[in-house]
Amino acid sequence: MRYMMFVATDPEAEPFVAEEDDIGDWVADVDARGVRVFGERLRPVQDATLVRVRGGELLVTDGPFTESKEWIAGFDVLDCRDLDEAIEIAGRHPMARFGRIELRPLWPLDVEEDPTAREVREVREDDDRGRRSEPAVGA
Amino acid sequence: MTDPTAGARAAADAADAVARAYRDEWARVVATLIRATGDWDVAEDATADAFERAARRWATEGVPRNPGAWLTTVAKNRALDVLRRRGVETGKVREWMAMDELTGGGASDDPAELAAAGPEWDDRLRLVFTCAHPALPIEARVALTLRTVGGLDTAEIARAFLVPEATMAQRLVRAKRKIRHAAIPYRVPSADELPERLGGVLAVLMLVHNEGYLASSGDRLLRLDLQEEAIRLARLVVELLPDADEARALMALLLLQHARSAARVDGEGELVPLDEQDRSRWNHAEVAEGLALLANTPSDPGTIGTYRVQAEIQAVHARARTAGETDWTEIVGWYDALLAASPSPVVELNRAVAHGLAGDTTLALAELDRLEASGQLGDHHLLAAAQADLLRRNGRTEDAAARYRDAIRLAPTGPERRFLERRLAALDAG
Repeated sequence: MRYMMFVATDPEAEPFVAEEDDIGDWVADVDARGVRVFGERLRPVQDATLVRVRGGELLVTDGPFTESKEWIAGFDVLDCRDLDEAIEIAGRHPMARFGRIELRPLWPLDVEEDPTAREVREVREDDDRGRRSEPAVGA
Repeated sequence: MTDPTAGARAAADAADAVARAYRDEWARVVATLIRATGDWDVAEDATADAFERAARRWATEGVPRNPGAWLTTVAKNRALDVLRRRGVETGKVREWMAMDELTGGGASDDPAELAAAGPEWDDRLRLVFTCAHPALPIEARVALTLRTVGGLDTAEIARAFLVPEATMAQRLVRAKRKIRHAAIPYRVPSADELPERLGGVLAVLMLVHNEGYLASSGDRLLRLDLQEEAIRLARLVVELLPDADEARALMALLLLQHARSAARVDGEGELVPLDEQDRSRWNHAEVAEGLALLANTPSDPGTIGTYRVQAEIQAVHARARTAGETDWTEIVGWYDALLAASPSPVVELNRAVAHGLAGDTTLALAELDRLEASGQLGDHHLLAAAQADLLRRNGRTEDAAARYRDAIRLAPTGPERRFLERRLAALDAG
């Protein structure tokens, strides 16, 4: 199972202490275990570029619209047995203390089927399941 | 000669057997099916289907010698049919067949035997931990535990939590979808994760209990006794993890609280406080079981858990034959322990009340004044009610009446409001 691990800042996190930043150990450990597919830090938002197309016109602007207090500082793609392993790895990342980490399962693009159509179908199937009648016994 | 009542008796016996199997075997069968298929919906549907078949066939064919094994076999075959018909999931079916072969083909279908022979854990324990996984929203953990482990139907759970059935169904669907999409594992946590994750499981059971307790003291009439469900689930966790002291303590706490259910409400549905309850109406079997659980659980003061402390407080009440015999000094001691373990203004309030009942009303009032000044409880009706009660005991009738009126204004449920009104009326009369 693959997860995108977003490493984000968080104004409510514990203050950063340089001596306790053990990111080197973390990277060495996850690489030795072979659970990290790829990962990088990201340059700050000041270096970001926003790209949109509106009414057929390409709009390029500097950075995000607002100064957000939480921004993504880096990411790692993890390949884990399951969510518990991903949680264990994320929990030992120094930014779990100095910031926060969000784990998002990858949603592989199925070339056979449009992803939006698939989500609509899955939601409908799940709704049908939720509505189905319960067993008559034991009620 | 045929006995005309024999058929009716067989049908009644079969209905009893199905109901009993539902209570005893649902979690086992569904837990085994989830492991075998990896698909919560297929497992749940196939298990429900097996019970429907049992209801039809046991009446005419007789109750099987081992109902659990019968149900598991029928549910497995049903799940296999569904997965085969889907076609796309042949890989899963093949895996499953391989697993069956690993266990020797002729392996037992009796889930109890399978569990005993299993590598480490009963499947039901995997189920309990997955349902209470911290990555699921808390309301979903509670709903999923009641639905999948408890075997309650969605409509029942919805009614108990006062939400529309469609909302509850959606909550369950979303939880199962997240288990699948985020790959929440179906396993018992490792030894180092276990204490924390067990705490999460117990918190879910406590929430089920609290909801049931609230329902029984509010204006809600329910068919489903959530407090009983919480006890049933706690019993299962204790059976599966017999060395987990906090699980035993929680079960004791739930039993000791539930034992008072019948005495807590009078014939008119009005609330009866602990000191006025008819103690002969307590459920003495539950009291005895709760006390025995505590007696058989070691209590190392250094590592004593919060459920243990709460259970010990209930045990002091349970051991007192009359309200007057309650050892309030012991209760104060337990509240001190509880405050040290997990500080909370509600616990401080309760400790102050205990001080008052132990005889020191001046200290109690001072503590409550400090609590009120701190603003931590805001405008809580229990704070006003406790102050009113202590003022009454100190003979400050007018001050007491004013605080009772505040408490009545703030009380959230009808029965609580009416109880406080009766206290106020008694004050005016006295």
